Parts: sequence; structure tokens; C-alpha cells
Amino acid sequence: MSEQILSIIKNNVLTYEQKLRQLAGAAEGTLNVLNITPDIQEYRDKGIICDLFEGNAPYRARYITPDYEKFMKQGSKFLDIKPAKDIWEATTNLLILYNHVPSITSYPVYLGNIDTLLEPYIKDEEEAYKAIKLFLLQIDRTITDSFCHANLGPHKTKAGEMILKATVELDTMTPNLTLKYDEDITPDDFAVQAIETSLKVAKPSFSNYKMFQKDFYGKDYAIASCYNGLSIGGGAYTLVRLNLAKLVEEAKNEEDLLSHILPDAVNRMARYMDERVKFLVEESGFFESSFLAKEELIHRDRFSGMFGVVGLAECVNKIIGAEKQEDRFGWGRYADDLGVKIIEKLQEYVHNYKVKYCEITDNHYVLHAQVGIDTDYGISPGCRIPIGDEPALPKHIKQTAKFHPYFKSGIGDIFPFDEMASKNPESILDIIKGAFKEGMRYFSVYSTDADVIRITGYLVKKSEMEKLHRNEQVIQQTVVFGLGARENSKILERKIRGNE
Amino acid sequence: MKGIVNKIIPFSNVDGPGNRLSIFFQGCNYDCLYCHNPETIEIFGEKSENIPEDISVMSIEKILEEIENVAPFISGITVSGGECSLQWRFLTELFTEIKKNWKRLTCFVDSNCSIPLWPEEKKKFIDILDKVMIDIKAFDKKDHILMTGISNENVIRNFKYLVELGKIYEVRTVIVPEIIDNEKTVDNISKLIAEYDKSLKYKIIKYRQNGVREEVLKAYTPSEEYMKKLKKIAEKNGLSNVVIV
Ligand code: SF4
Repeated sequence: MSEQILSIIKNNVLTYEQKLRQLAGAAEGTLNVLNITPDIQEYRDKGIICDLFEGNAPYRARYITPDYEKFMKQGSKFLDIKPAKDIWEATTNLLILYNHVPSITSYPVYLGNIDTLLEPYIKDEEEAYKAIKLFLLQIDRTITDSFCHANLGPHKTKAGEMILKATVELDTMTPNLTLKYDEDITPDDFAVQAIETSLKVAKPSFSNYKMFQKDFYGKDYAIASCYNGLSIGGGAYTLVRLNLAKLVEEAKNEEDLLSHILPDAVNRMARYMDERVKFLVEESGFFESSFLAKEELIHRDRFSGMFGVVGLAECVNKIIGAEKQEDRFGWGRYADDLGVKIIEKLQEYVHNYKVKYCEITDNHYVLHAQVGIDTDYGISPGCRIPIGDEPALPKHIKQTAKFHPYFKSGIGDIFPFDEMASKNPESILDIIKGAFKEGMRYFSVYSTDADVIRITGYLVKKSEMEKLHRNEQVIQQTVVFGLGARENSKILERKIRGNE
Repeated sequence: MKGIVNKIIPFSNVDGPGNRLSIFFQGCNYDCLYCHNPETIEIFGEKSENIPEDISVMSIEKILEEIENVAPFISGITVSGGECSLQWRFLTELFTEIKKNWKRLTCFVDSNCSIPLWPEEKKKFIDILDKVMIDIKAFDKKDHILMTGISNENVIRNFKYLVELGKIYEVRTVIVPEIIDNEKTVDNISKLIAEYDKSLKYKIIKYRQNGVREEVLKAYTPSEEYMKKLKKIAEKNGLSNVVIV
């Protein structure tokens, strides 16, 4: 224990803040307060169930998505802040609040729909642009973690256009951005500007506004962290993942997997999640003590638990013994159908497991296609087709669209395009429109020429990874993950899209 | 009726606005020195013997099936070649069917515009297509014969005919150094365009060696400065949308 702490203290590659957070994690690691039964522990030890480093004693929700609209209207008693009167006060108020929104990384994972939040304060455009650019710069340099996510759209606004423009000029990793896109609301010129931005700095991604709206019963939603769909004024207590690529080792055959192994694993993992949620809600005092709750910027009953999945492709390929590409997940009809069947069953088991404290999601946990962690080796994120096995784009989109409807708390695919595409961003908009009609929920684009690229959900600069590779300090924690993923998951070898 | 097709690219971002399905038809009446796809020149009939394996004789239905697969993702289709207008009867039928099935898809024709498009029999073809990308490969007749093997009277007349109908999407000229007088060519072509529509897109394309038959032509790619000089000439003649590719 003390050796571990000393090694954190003496690690010269970590910045001061990174040390601080690792030390806190080490302290939490000494506790043992969750009631983890042996059958759960068995799956944790095997890496089938993994809580993604959430720690042993949850004292804040993993993802928090405050109601920033409300904050702009009412200010904050606790922070002694009055509602803003101009753009400078508006951006300052938000920056102050961000500093007090915790999460698993201790940084805010959601910054609000920043275009609609700032739009009412745009009077003098030149001044507003300066304020917005400084606002974004401040976020990038102080929230040093690109799981931090801001939302835009679906309407075109002046603020939205300025944010995109400033994002390109600043060329920063943080915040991650999502444009809530609806063909019937978002004008083409704004969508094209977003795509042009994406080809330069790998963001914003596009979320299917119609689909999310339907899943959130007509209410607006937040996209936080990588691409997680969550209720505004709430968030996620926890995210635990089920590694299907490893679970498959437990199954004798398809039938055994679908009827015995899978329901049993869901049960073990859900009970583990229950433990985490119970401690957080009933014992940690988070919801009683946080001013966010007291001032009704978050509501306990708008939180839910995210039931993550990884490695569907590997699971399918293993259980049917697919060797040749034509039989594998992403190519073979049988493999793809089986993939859908597994997810359908998974949803059934998860939804039938009733839980306390998840009122907002009909008293069950919600499915999430987890993007993986830096140490994953040969395990594809969520339901993605493995890198190196990607079919041609039209086929790829149709295949992946079959899975997206099941994952209301997040799923997405990433497509790198060649430089020809940047001369014709409308062509990518056509593809996104089609993809959303086919049922895709979330679509990310970047250009292979750009420095900022999308790893699995978050963004990292290639140049920063190089620095870290040379053992130099980097300001962003996520660069560490990016480097891991670069080495273990071949993310630089994704199939490049252009003419196909 | 069938079409003789060299290949289909389901997603193309270089053949007109948005994402498009591109169909490359087989057979051309030119023999350009700088042809990048010389394998598409030879003309075959529907019933020709010894059609090479990679060339397909396709029915309208077969092509519609290909479009069906990608229809949600595209703005339209572009037919190219070879020289697709040689198969204009087939194209007329194809476009008619496309418009019947997918109203929003546009049909673009990438053509050297060497066959007369104005005669009455082609009226339906011209009506149904949305826009044409026209190659004007040289202005001077002798230059044109040198570059392509054929004179350009029809091309110029087609240009005038189509531009008046508002059916031209862009005009293109490939720039090969040191064969013909490029400055004069661009000067004359841009003057011609400006006479009708100053905002029409004029694309001047850098010659590149890839695909070109070395025994026919060995040339180098013109420099960016040279292209900019040509662009200036076109702009001086009043064109507002000159693009270097
Ligand atoms: S017109 Fe086009 S296809 Fe025909 S020879 Fe010339 S370059 Fe080749």
C-alpha cells in the first residue's frame, strides 16, 4: 500500500493533478464496504464484469448531467451567483459551476447545450466571439480530460456557429462536442459547418435527435462523456461492463450462452450494480449533501445505472467458430443475426431485472455499448465490427444500425475519411442522413490528416501521444488512454473512408 | 435494352454534389492522349463476343438494385465513362426509372459532349437528366484533334445548347504542360463561358500520370503556380467560380 502511494508521488510523468487523483483513488481502494458475493467476485476476477475503475466506495455519481438551463435562470445560492446579464457573466457563471460538478474523473463530463445556453447573451457579435473563444480555451486548459462533453443543436444558432469556428481556431481536444442532429430541424449549412469542423478537429459527432427524443419520452437529453445518452438534471450512478468476449469462454454452445450463461451473468452484474447504487444513494450522503441536488440542478430520481457491454464481435466469432472473413461478424449473415439475437436477449434480461432508484428508466438499468479501456487487447468496443474487418461503408452502416436502437444510453461508430472528403463535406452529410434513417444513433467522423483524432469515444492529439510515448508530461489524462489504445487496439489502422 | 458498364462505385465524393453512386460506362469515341482509364475506351455491343470478364452487360433492373442498396445515403447518381452519352437511349430509360422510384435523386452526366445533343430524338434524354459536367478539352480545333483525335464543333455547340437550358453543372479542362498553348485555351474557354454565365463553375484539372498509357503520353504535373496563373486568366475574363483540382 505505502509502496504504491510512494510510487505515485515519485512518478515524474504525472502532473500534480494527476497525482492527486491517483492518490485519492488509492485511498478509496483501501476500503471494503460493498457486499460482493463470491459469484460476483468470480466474474470480476475473470474480467467478465468490470467496474471501469469506479473505486471501492462510490461517493459521487459516475456521470452527472446538471440542468444548466435552470442554473442560468436562477443562479446559485451556494456559489453566491446571480443570473447573468451579458456574455461575460454567462460564460463566467458556467465556468464556475463546471468547477463544482463532480464525476468519476472528478471533472464534469457534461457542460450543457452550450449554444442555446449562450445564445440569449449574444448582442455584439465580435465581443461575443471573443468571450466564447476564451470560454472554450479556459475549458480546454482547466478541464484536462476529454471525457468532458458539450452539446450543440439541433437548431442553428449564432452561438453554435461561433463555437464551431472557435473550436477550429483553437484546435483543442476538450470539450468533446455533439451536434444533436435532426434533418427536419437542423439546416444543411449548419450541419455542413459541423462536418467541416469534424474533419479538422474530430468533433462534433452527430447524435440522432429523433431517436433519442423518442427514447427519452419526448424530453431533451444530454450526451455526456464519450456518447452517453442521459437525462438532463440527472445522470448515471454507475457504469459497469459485461465483457462478452470473455463471457463466451463460459458457454458450451450458442444455446447455452443465450439461455443460461447470459441471464446468469446479467443477474450477477446487476446485483453488483445494485450494491454500488445502494451505497451511493443510501450511505455516501452524496444526494443529501451536494448543493447541486439542494438547488435542484440534479434530481436523484433522474439517475439510472448503465449496463455496459463490450466485445460482441469476438463473442459471436468465437461461439460459431468463424475463421474466414465471410463468416465473421460484420460479414456473415449468420454471425450478424446471432449478434442481434444476443443483444435482444440481453435487453430482455436487463429490462426484466427490476431495480430500486432508477425511476427515470422504468426501474431497470439501461444498455450502453462501452467503448473499451486502454488495456483491452483484441476486444472490440460495444457492438463494433473489429478494426481490420470493416466492410464497405454502406454495408457497414446497415450492419451497425441493427444494434443502435437497443442502446439508449450510448453506442456509436467512428469513420475516418480521407482528404478528398474534406473537399465535399456534403457527401458526408448525405451519409449521415442515410445512416440515421437506417437507425443509427450516433455517428463520428474525423480526417486522417488531422492531429486531433477520435480514439474510441474520446479525443486525443496524435502529437500529444507522441510526447507521452517519449515519456514527457502531458496535460490531459486521456492521452494516456489514447496511447494504450493506439498500442493495443490498432485505432490508427481503422479503414479509411473515401470513394468505395 | 442493356447498358455496357465498366464499374460502379457506390459512394463517390468526387462526381458532383453530395455523395453519389457513380456508374462508369464502357466505350468511348475519343482517344485522348491523357486518358486515365484507357481500358474504358474500347466499344462493345450488348451481344459482342469476347467481352472481357470485368465488363458487365447490365439491365435497368440490375442497376436499380444497386441504387436501392445505397439510396438513403446518396444525393443522386452520376454516369461517366468512357463516354456514357454513346449509350444515351439506355440512360434515358435508366433516368426515367430512377425518377419514378426515388424522386429526390438527381441524375448527372459526366460527358465529353461530342455527339450532337440538340436533335429532337434526344429531347427526352436532355429533359430527364439534371445536369451535365462537360469536358472542353481544347478550344482550337487542331488542338482538340491533337488531344482527342476528333474536332470539337459538336462540343462547343452542345455547350451553348445546354448552358441556355441551365443544364450545365461545371466545365472542365485538363491541363497538360507543353502540348498545346494552355494559356490561350483557358483564355478562350473562359471567354466562352463568361458570355453565357459568369458564375458557372470552371474546373481546371492538373494532369497526373497515374493510369495514363506511357507509350502514348509521358508528361509531368503542372505546378500550383502555373495553375494559379491560368486561374487568373479565367477570372480576368469574368468567371467567379474557377477551381483548381
Ligand atoms: S473522353 Fe475520357 S474516356 Fe474517352 S478517351 Fe478521353 S479521357 Fe478517355
